[in-house]
Amino acid sequence: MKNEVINYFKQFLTQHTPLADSSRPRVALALGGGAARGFAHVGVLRVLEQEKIPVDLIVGTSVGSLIGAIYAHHLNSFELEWTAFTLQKEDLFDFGVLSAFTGMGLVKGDRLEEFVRTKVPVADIEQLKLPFAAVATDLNRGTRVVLESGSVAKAVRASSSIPGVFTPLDYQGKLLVDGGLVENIPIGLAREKGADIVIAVDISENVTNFDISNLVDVVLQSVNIVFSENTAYKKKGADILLTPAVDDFGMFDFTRKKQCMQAGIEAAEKALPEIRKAIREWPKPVPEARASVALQRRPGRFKFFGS
Amino acid sequence: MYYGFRFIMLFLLVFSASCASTNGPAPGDLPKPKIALVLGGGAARGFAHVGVIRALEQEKVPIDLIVGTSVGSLIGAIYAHDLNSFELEWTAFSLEKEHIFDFAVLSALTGMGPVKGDRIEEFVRAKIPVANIENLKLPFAAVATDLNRGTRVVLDRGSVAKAVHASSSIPGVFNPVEYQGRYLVDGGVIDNIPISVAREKGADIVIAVDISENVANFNIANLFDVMIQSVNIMFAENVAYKKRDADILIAPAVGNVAMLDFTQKKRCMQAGIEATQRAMPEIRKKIEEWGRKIEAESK
Repeated sequence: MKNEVINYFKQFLTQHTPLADSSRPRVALALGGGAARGFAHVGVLRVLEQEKIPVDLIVGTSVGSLIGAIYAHHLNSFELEWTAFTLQKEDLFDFGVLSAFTGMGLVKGDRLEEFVRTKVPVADIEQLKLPFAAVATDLNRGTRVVLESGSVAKAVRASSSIPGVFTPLDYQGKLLVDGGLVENIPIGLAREKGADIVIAVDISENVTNFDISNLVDVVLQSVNIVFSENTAYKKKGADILLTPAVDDFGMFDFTRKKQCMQAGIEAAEKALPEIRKAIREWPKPVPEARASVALQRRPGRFKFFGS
Repeated sequence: MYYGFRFIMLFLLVFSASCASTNGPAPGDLPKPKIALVLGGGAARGFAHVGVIRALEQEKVPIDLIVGTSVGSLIGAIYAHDLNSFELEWTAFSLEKEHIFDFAVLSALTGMGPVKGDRIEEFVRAKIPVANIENLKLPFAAVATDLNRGTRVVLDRGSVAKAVHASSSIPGVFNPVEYQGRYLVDGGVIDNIPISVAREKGADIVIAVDISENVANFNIANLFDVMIQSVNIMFAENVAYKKRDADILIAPAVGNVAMLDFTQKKRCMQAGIEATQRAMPEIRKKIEEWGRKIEAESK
């Protein structure tokens, strides 16, 4: 009874007063990998901003780290949209034929790094306006690497370096590749960083692709399949899971930007009631103490013959 | 007198109960579960599977079905053909890297992978004289991935050699296999330890062998190394989830053997034998438990 009163009071307060920092949960946005489908993340951020859903932390893998870092710097979804409108495939991929023979990947990745530097003028993650972390994979050890300090450009580049396509990034004494190998939707990381509510965006569903004709296609498609499979498990940990309807768009199709963003907007709008409810009802009411259940249990009664 | 009667009844009750738990039908008379052996992917570490099969054969654990991914399909198919772990061992002993990999520089430029894969098919044909999976002595299935659709493909009929080839075609290394109107690559992309296939095929007890743990490799110098290592990491991550569904999980200590190191065969086999021997009490327990459960249900 006492708990009910307190909960009611809490709800009343959160509904009728502006959120003070201590009275509301820490909300994290986890942006998953999925290459060009990542334009959907832009649409999601637009809606969350518009609807004043507080975001206290952004964690991203691959394209999720790219979009997340740009937003974490500007906190301005219009800036982000404009960047997305003007972004071309060539801004990110510097294919080098020679590099395929002599190096460890077809795309060097310098161009992606340059792109981040022009869009995010601060050097280090610590200077971003919002706490931010990118997920990469230590290629030698096969372990997750969380990049949450130091160069923004390097962090995004490492997190997005699809193996076999991009050259692995030699950074901080490690050889780093795309974070999707180990955590394509970094919900786990958001929790480790103390998030109370995790809103996750999955853009990895449906990898169907009938346009495979060379080694790069084979590798990319295989990577997509594995990432999607990996996400299928990890996404279960989200409080709110957004799955923008981008499954018809190829992972490297930069011509469907607008549709992707639109899909992100729609998915976020649809999830708004659920998001608001999760924030309002935080902390989740504790179920009636389990100990009382044990006390209520009746002692066993044994019957013997005749007794 | 009355109390005496009660005492005797109680005694009889307790006595008969203890009989049921110790002297009931011997484990040998209980109903037999359908046991599936699931062999996971892990390239050269697959020699551990040979050791596992050897130990299971020696311990007379009946295997009713083998399901394999990648190297697991190769080892599984050879055993499913002749049910002879000594033959299998000899094959493993004489197997060299070159029997499997036909590197072609030209194919890296014009094709979809540096390894064509003809050689692995030839190898399978030489070792398994029957053409089709239906002709193997033991029910067998290999798992591959439909590259276009991103779905699991279970190869449980038709050409043994094609099935093993498809299941083992590591993307970026092997050319995808065009087979039955599909482009197929390594089954590990979607299911590197196909416990689910064994269940779908009606297995009561699934013994799964995981050789994917620990992928550390500090010897990465070219695109090929990058690809192989990335694939290894992804496959290991995939197994980390799927292996939970096994009844008995055997994880031979092959963590420090590189995926393409063919010089550590003997150590891998030894690790397979040891891990299986350690798992034997659990395997016997699970078989007996299953039998007792079924018997109790049938009464």
